[in-house]
Formats: sequence, C-alpha cells, structure tokens
Amino acid sequence: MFRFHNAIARCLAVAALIAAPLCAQPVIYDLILQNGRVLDQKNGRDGHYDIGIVGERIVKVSDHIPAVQGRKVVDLADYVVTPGLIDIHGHFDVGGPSLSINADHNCLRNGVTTAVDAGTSGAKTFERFREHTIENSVTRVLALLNIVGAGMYGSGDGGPENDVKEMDVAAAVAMVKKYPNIIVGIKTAHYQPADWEAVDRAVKAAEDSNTVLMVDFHPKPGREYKDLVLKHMKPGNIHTHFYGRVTPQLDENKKVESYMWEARQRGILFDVGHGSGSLWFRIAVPAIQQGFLPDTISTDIHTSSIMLPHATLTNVMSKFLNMGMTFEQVVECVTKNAAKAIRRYDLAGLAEGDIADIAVLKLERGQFEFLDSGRGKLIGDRNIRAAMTIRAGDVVWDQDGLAAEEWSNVGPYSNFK
Amino acid sequence: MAEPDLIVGIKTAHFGGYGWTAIDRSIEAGNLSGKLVMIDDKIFTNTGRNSKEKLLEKMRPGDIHTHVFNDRQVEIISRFNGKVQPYVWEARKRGVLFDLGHGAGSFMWPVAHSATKDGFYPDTISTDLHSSSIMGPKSDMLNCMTKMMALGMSLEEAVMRSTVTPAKAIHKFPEIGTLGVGKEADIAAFKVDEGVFALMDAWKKKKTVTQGLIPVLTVRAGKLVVDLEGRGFPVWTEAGDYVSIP
Repeated sequence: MFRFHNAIARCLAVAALIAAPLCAQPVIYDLILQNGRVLDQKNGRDGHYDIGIVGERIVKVSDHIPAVQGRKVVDLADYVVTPGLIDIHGHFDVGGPSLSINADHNCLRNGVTTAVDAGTSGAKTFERFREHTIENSVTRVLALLNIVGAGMYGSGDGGPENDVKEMDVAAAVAMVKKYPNIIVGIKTAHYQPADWEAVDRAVKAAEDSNTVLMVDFHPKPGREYKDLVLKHMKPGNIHTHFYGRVTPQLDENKKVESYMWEARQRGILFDVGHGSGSLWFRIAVPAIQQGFLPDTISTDIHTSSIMLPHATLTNVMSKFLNMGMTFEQVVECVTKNAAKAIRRYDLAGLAEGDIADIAVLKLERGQFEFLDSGRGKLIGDRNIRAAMTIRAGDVVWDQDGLAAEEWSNVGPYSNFK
Repeated sequence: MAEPDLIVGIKTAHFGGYGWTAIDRSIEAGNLSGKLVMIDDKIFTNTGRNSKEKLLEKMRPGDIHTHVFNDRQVEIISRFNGKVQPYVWEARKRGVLFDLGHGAGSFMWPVAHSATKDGFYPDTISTDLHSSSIMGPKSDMLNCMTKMMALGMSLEEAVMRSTVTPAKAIHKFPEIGTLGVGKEADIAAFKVDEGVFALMDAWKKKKTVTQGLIPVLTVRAGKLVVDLEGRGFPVWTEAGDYVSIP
C-alpha cells in the first residue's frame, strides 16, 4: 500500500515537473491595467476592460487579461481610464516669456500627456523653445506658432505683439514646415490695433501651411467679433477664450447670440482657454444652459491662472462638470474633440497599437469649491482628479500609489552600496 | 556680505571627491561671513570622510546636515544594530541641526522607521523640492509633514519643525515663523483629513496611512494667493456682474 502510494506520488511529481513549463503563463505585458472603467470615445468603448502595454504601446484591450501575464499589474477598480488628456492651450516656454510654466509638473500631474503651447513662441524664438523645453519634456509638447516672430513678449506700448512687421507669414510657414510633427498650427493673440492685420496674416499662414489656427481676439469698434467668426476665420479654426468677458457671446438678456450658432454651423471651433480672464460662471452657466457647450476644454495654463483660479486641466474639467455638462461630454472635450481640433486624431484613443498615453481619473463626490477668472465661487458636488498618468507606457504620476508596493513588503533596501 | 538679508548661509553639495575639502571650505566661508553651513554629503567607502568626524569635529553648532533619512548621506543608523548612532545624539547635543531634505532620493522608509523608532526625528522639515521630487514622491511641504506624522510626530511638532525651528535655523526668527502682532502676514491654512493616503519614498515604495494634511489657503504678505476652497470669495450667483472680485 505504502509503496503504491509512493509510486503514485512519484508519478504526480514527475508529471508536475513536465507540465509546469507548459502550463506556466509567460509574462507578456510590461504593464496591465485591470478592472478600470475604460472610456475611449474614439473607439466607442465605455465599460470595464483590461489594457495590456508592452514598451510604449497598448497591445491588448480585452475583457480580461490574466494578471500572471504582467510584469506589473495595477488594479483600477473605481477609477476611469481615458486616453491621455490633451490640453490644446497652455504656455510652457519657460526660457522665454515670463507667463510660462513647467510643462511636466503642470500637465502630467493632471492627467495631461499632450499639451499644446499656444503661441508663446514665434518663428524667431521657436528653435530655442524646442531645444530648451519641448525636447526635454516627458509631456508631448506640441505648438501653435505665434504669427508674431518674437512670440508673447507683450502687447503694451511698443510690444512686439502689436507690431505688424513682426508678423512674417512666410517665416511662420517655413517654421511650421520644418517641424510638422511638433507645430500643429498658428496662433494669433493680444493684438490691440483696430484692424484685421494680425488675424488675416494668421489665417493666411495657417492656410499656406495647411494647419489649424487658434485665435485670441479683442473686439474693437470697426473690428467686430461677429465678422471674425463669420467672415475672417475659416472652418476648423479655433476661437479660444469664447466664454471670456471681452467676447460678446451673450446679449444683454444672457441669450447666446445668433452668430455664435451660425459660426458653429460653419465649422468654427470654440475652445475654453480658462486662463486668468476667460472663464466666468456668469457667462458660461447661461451659455451651457442654452446648449452652447465648448468644443474643447483647455486651460490656458500660465503663471497666474494656476494660483487663485487653480486652473489645471482637471480643475477646469471639474468646473464644467459642475456647470451642467456630463462626465462623458467633459472627457470627450479633452480627448476626442481636442485631438481632432489639432488634427492629431492618432492621440484620441486607447486601441491596440496606439501609444500608451493614458489618464486614470477619479470621479470624487463631496463638496468642492471652484473659483473662476473673476474669483466668483461655484460650489459643486463632484471633482475630477488625476490619480495616475501614463506617458508612452511609463507611470509618470501615481498620486494614489496604485503602482507602488508597500515598503514593508519588499525587504530591506539601501542607497549605501 | 553684499546681500546679507537674502543669503542666509553656505551650502556644500554633491561633492564626490576624496577628503574634506568641500566641507572645510564651506565652513571657512561660513566663519568668514558669519553664516551657517548646510551640508549635503556622500559617504562612499573611498571618500576618506566619516559621519562621526563630520558631525562631531567638522560641523559647528547651528550648521545643518540635510538629507538625514538618506543612508548614503550620513550614517544616522548603525548598520550593525539598527540603532541611532551615539555620535548623532552627541552632535545634536552640541547644536548640530538635522534637516529632512526629502527630495527625489533622500527619503527612505527603512531609514526613517529605524531612526524614529529610536526617537530620532529631523529638527527641520524641508522638501528639497525640485523637478523630479514633486513627481514621484510628491515631496511638497504638507506631504513631508504628513510623512513625519505617519512616523509618529504630533501635528504640533510637525508645525513647529516647519515654522519656528526652520526660521530659527536660518536666523530669521521671530521675523518669520510666527503669527505675532506686527509680523508680516505670511499664513498657511490646511486641513487634517481622514482618508487613504499613499506616501511614497525615493524607492517608489509606499506607506499607506489614513491621515493626511491638505492645503486650503495661503496668505503671503497679507495677500490671499491660494484659496482652494474659495473661502475668501462670494458665490458667483450673489456677485452680480462681477469683473474682478478683490
């Protein structure tokens, strides 16, 4: 009896030895994101999926990926997984104009993996910006090139932003063509004289380079906003700061002006560009109530906008969530719509083969307060927080320690070697 | 000597060479200018320097050793018995200050746990805030204070070591570091929140705790500069056609 059992046991042991290498599941993925609610509007996905990443790319999206196949596995139950957020309006030329702030610190910590610098530099200053900042950022920093060669060095008396001689269309087009993978279009901003020179030259540069145009516009007598969006701008061009105080988007009864609808009809895109002066609850709330929503939600993040208005991208998204947009609408504005607006639709989704730029968001409930550009307060009940950011497959932000091990579980470690 | 109000002392850092040159010259500069010295060091086996001599013979009372919870900076913990080294207590007694200097590489849970288990806490809490330390370990000031509290420090001590003690260390007390009448209005307000907080160290290892400090508002020289709960401002529906609410 004993011998018989022993024989069986020996057989089983041998069988196990043979089977082990056959059954053992090989590690396939560098990183698996499990159990999160995947919201990928480009590919029509909203549900619980697992995402497998190898190197810098997503290679698998499916109902279930076994944990044993991952070198690292992160459980994202209770989190929303979206394409890396795209902020199409910020200022990151930290070696240049003083409004600029650090891209990585202000983007990655807020779920933003692609940020568009909106005209901080121009044809004369872009190379320095590229060398100094763009090439050294983990964030994918793209650019809208200022039609003003010097970039954003002021629109006060004698400032280059009012100087038509600084607006060299050919030079701008040449720079766009030199860096087609970085420069997505042209920006015009802050121009004070009451003529159309800045806008028209920017439109021409965008047309000649076949790229997008973003316009920041201060109406003047004889240079009306209505003419901007109905005549001067082309379909696909973006008006930023459209909830701003200087933009006549509402009539005296707070009704959205008919030319706003007409402009939208002809393909003009409306971007938030919160900044220090361009989000007012007293304007945005009535507009949203009438159904005039933004095409894209962006921050215009710069030195002062991050202070009292605290206008990071997740903060601006939360403001719109609490002003009446749905969570899905808000996410669409900073992923699918934003990617389309800058003609980088390749960055809009989480499909197999896509670069692994991913935001992990937490939709928090409670009481949250938000300040607008005029420091009016909105009290809301939901907040969007970026818990984790993945850029090209790397976890670059992990506020909740989701990818981290508990220190007491890993054995001794020391810097002293 | 040209900017005595701005320059509070001398710093030596990152010196990987042999011998005491960097530290000696810093202390000489400190002596000549009448200022403190902050030391960031490396203790490889071939530096010809050791922690005991550094703390007991080189550093002067009032000098600061930063990065105390990095075991490659200063040997706070004995590798043999896991206890705080006797010369560390002795150095503290003679007035040498120990500073956290969290940074990207200088806060490690194993070192911090061994030290605090033995009752050794940094005199001053500081962040060594820089481009990478705010990403991985998120070493902002409240995060560093939260970590000290996770190691058993009381809230009161954490505040003391982030206000009064550092102000004294840089010889700016009581000009800053208190809320006395007549002082410049530099004020912080924060909350002690209950929740789940993952506190990360230099090795991307976490300690999960249930209490964290959350920023609420900051006043600098009487001006409200950060107000995350909008406490200083009215609800927009009650503000009319507001332009810029002061």
